[in-house]
Amino acid sequence: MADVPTVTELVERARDGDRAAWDEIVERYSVVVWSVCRRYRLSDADSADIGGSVWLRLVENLDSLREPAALPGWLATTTARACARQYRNAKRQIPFQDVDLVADQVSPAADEWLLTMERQVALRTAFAELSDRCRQILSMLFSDPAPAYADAGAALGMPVGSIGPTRRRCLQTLRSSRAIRALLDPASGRSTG
Amino acid sequence: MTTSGWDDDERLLAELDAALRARAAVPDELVQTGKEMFGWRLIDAELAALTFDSTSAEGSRTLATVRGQAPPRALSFHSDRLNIEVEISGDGLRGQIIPPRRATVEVDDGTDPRPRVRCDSDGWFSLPPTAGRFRMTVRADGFAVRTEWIRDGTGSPATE
Repeated sequence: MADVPTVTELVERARDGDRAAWDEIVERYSVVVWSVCRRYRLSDADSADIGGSVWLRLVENLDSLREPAALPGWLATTTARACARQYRNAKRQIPFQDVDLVADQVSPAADEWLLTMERQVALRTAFAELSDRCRQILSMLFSDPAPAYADAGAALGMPVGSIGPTRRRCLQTLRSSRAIRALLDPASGRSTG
Repeated sequence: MTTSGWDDDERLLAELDAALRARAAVPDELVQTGKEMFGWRLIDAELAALTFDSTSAEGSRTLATVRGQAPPRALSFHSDRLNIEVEISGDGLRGQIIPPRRATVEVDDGTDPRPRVRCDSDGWFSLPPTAGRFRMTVRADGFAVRTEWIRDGTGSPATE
């Protein structure tokens, strides 16, 4: 299976001009930018503008990022500042005050939110590493309530009795993926050599 | 970092579902714009020179003053590829790129991150009020144009 890079590796490659690495960074972490914009209740159009300014700022500061591994936090903070400023400009009756715009981002709740973002990135990355078959099977089982195995089996062309064990095997593969292992133990996630 | 609950297949499946939905909810435009930004890394901006300033001695003579109200400050910039017309008032910057084209306009006035907006199909754009000295960068298809620094972008005439 192809090597699945860590965010630090992606940043290093992007610094060297690797566009695919940059695309992967955007793919993985757009959720962070979008989620912050949503929390500030900005319109889709304003969110798109802010998203663009945040990514542009990252591109311009790629070389000087102190902690590539802390990119999600950097994105969240940068987006929050931009959103807060947009919010203030839209509501003209609120006089501008030199408030700590990112107070929200340094609270324990904010830390937990960032951890959730990291978990979700790891899950999506690990999911993408699975075989087509596993992705197909797991996707079918997402509904709440999950479909009856008889229906799932019919849709997938699998015997009913094999769905449960296959699901278990796919999830176990997910757990042992590099992305998930890196979450559990950062040291084990790094590539060798 | 705790991943409690991931031993349980049901919870892992539910979290995976939530993670995939979260990514699916992000508008394509935000993702595409983000990817395009990589192309801006190496582009040098052309300079757009100031060709008219209503607060200059010459500029003031060409504009009428609305009674009892300071007129907006009007600025014109010229570069080979496009011109920029801007009006500055207490409400902010309102301007147009001529000829109109798909572009973004970004203001550098020390604010972090810099405000950046897209112009509409006629080239119009609006930006929030600036905090004094500023310059603008227009980014369009494969090139960038940057204005010279403008003193005092707050909308009041230059006092110098």
